[in-house]
Amino acid sequence: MKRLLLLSLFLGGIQTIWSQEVNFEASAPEVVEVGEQFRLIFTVNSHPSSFQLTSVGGFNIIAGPAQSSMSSTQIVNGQVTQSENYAFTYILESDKEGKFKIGSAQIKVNGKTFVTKPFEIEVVKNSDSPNPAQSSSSVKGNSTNSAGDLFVRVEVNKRALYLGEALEAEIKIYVRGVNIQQFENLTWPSFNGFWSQEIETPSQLVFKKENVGGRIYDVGVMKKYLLFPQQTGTIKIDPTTIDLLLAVRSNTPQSIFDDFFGGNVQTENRHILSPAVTINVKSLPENGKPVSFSGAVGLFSMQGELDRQQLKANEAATYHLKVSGTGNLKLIDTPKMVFPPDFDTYDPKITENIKTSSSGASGSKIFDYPIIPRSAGTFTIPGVELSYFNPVSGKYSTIKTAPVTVTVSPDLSGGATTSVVYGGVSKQDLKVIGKDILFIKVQPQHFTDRKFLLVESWIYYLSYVLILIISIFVWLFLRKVQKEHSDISLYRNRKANKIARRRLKMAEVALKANNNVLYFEEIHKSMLGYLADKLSIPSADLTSEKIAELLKVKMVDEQTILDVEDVITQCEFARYSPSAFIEKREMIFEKAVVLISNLEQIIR
Amino acid sequence: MKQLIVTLGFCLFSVLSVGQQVANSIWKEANSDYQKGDFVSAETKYQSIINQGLHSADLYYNLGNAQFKQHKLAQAIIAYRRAIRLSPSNNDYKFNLELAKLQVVDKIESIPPFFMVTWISGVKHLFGPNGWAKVAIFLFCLFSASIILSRFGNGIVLKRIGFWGSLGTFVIFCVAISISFSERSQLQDRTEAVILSPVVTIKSSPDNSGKDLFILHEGTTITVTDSLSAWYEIKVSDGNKGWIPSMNVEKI
Repeated sequence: MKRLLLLSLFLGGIQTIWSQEVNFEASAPEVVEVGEQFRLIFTVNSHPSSFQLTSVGGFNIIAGPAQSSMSSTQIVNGQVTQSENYAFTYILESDKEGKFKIGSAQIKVNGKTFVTKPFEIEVVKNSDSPNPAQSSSSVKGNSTNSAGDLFVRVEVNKRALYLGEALEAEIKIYVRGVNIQQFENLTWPSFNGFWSQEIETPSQLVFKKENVGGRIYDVGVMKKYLLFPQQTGTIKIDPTTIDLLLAVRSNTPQSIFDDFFGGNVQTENRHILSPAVTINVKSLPENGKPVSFSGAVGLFSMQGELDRQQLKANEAATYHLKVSGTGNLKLIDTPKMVFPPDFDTYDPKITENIKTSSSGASGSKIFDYPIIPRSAGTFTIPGVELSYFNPVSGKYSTIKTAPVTVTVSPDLSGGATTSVVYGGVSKQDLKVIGKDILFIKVQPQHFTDRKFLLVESWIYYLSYVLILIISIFVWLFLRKVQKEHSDISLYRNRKANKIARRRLKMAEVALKANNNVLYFEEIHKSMLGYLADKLSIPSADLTSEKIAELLKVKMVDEQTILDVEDVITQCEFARYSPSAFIEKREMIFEKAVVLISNLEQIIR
Repeated sequence: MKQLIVTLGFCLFSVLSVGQQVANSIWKEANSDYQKGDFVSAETKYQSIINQGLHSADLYYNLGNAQFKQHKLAQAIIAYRRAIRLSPSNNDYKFNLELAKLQVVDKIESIPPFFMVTWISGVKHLFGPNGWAKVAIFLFCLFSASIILSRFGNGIVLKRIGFWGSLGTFVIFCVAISISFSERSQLQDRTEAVILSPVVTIKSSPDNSGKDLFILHEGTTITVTDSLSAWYEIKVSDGNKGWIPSMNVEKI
């Protein structure tokens, strides 16, 4: 049981990859000479069940089909890789010049049918005596021609093109009938006026047959370049110079193996120079040139996307902008992205994935823009434009990425952690630590109407009116009181003279009745009463001193005041001892009358 | 006459006091919610009192606190500013406002005002508009009394006091009533506003295609100088001007 398990484990470990793709192809030289024997080989990497070739054109089949197979097994880290190769070989020959078509071959693998494409082989006139050894694809020596034929050329696939359009240049060496022993000094063109990129070529020279002017040369591609013209006008590609050593045999060797044993071989120095090549570079048309054009030539597409649609404030995200296509990708400027203003943006990281092949530079260039939104909200990252010139159509195209909408949710940490890192976001955060807002007020409130304003309410103005009315009432009341007061004095003032005169008349009556006491009393009364009325003195304050004082205020002269005092004093005395004043009684009366009429004029 | 005033006053008071009792019970609930840490419920309750058409400085202050605790920075700043407008001399309100302002991202160098302006605004903010109206009515009483004194005062000294007193009180009365009116007009066309959106771009013209001038962040206080359809022309305290969609700001 255990063994079975182990075995099954072991078997499980060996996994053979069956899912390999079936590859069926034909190979043959492109050019052959008349009478030359060559091989036509069909290879397939899987076991075929049947093989069938439709036709070989005008070629004679000398041998074949010969079937051969090869298989290899590789075990790397327990992974088993098996590969099989089956080949069907024909040896063909032609006795006519011209182009002949090899028809398609058909095989069946696991029930499926695979077909090769038909292709042509050119047969040229035999330049030299036929030599079976020539069928080998190596540098050949020729017995008769020691000088041989040898030259170098720079071949371009376009002679006229637009600025920035790709151009392929191959430096090829053409060899016929000579044996190159060693390259000594190789100078490649400097390609002034171009931006050049070398295309990988095999380190070992691979020669192919090519028909040049009716002669078959062995042609080797020494270097391959992709050129992007950087200026307009006629650009000349410098010649390539090659110094090499040739092996020259003076005598006819018996076989090719003599070379190995150093037969009668001489070396010869040779300096070869390629003819100059001129390229005509057209400037890009000004007509219809977009504003955003910055020199991209080729055929491109562009995509922009954000790595996340939802993110928080102060969180980093990346905007990927991918430009892919064929053309001068490497020369494309970094597109100017316009991010929302509150985003922190940094210089993009540029990743290039460009394959340079003979078809041009193709691949993609990825710009990764790191961004950090600083605030919450919904933002739209606008699309970015790229304009390029399409040399095939000869027109400009503008491509644009779609705008990207991103929702930024608030950063609940309040940016406190990140702001320390980036600095300068919150101005005084350090001060705030440990501080909090003061607590709410809890005492009962007297709420007021929100829209209530004292200056706008009629009650406010009513209260002014009320104050005004109250003030007017107070005013009127006070004035009335004052008026009443002043009316009494005026009355007394006006009546004073009359009362005084009535009293004096009564004094005269008393005199006729010879009543002296009454007589002086009446004079005294008339005098005091008059003064009290005139000076508005209440009878309680009525003294001669007070009268003198008030008379002085009223600007009465000294003599009159003395007279008034004299009359009052004499009358007071006469009231108690009238007999002493009997002879003076007429005089006092006269004096009182004169004083009253005088005072009446002075005091108003 | 006096009876009429008393009756009127009583009627007004009783009408208001019914609303007062309801509002005060909501106020108590909201305060206890706040104490429990349920700031969302506290905020809605405070807001409901305001929606009844009532307000007080403390109400705005508590609302601001509840909003601040929920990181609603802009709303909290607006509420604090409203509280300060009703009671300009309260230091607690100012403290919390300053604390909230520290979290505003924009640091704007404001041009310091002339010292006279600061002084005058200091005097203006001694009382709210209603406070100044009350001061004015008190001064008017004093003025009338002084006039009466100057006319009927017993003796020359009292008459002089009355005369100069009436002049002085009249001048101060005029100042008080004009401050009250100017505060009212400020209240009616409020020019100060606060940015509500986390970030907003200020344009050179009232149009989305306008050139971007600068950006402002939540909580920044600005002055609205003009408006056109759904746009406000604003001025930042450092003197920069531009246009902003009006939905991004709220007037204080």
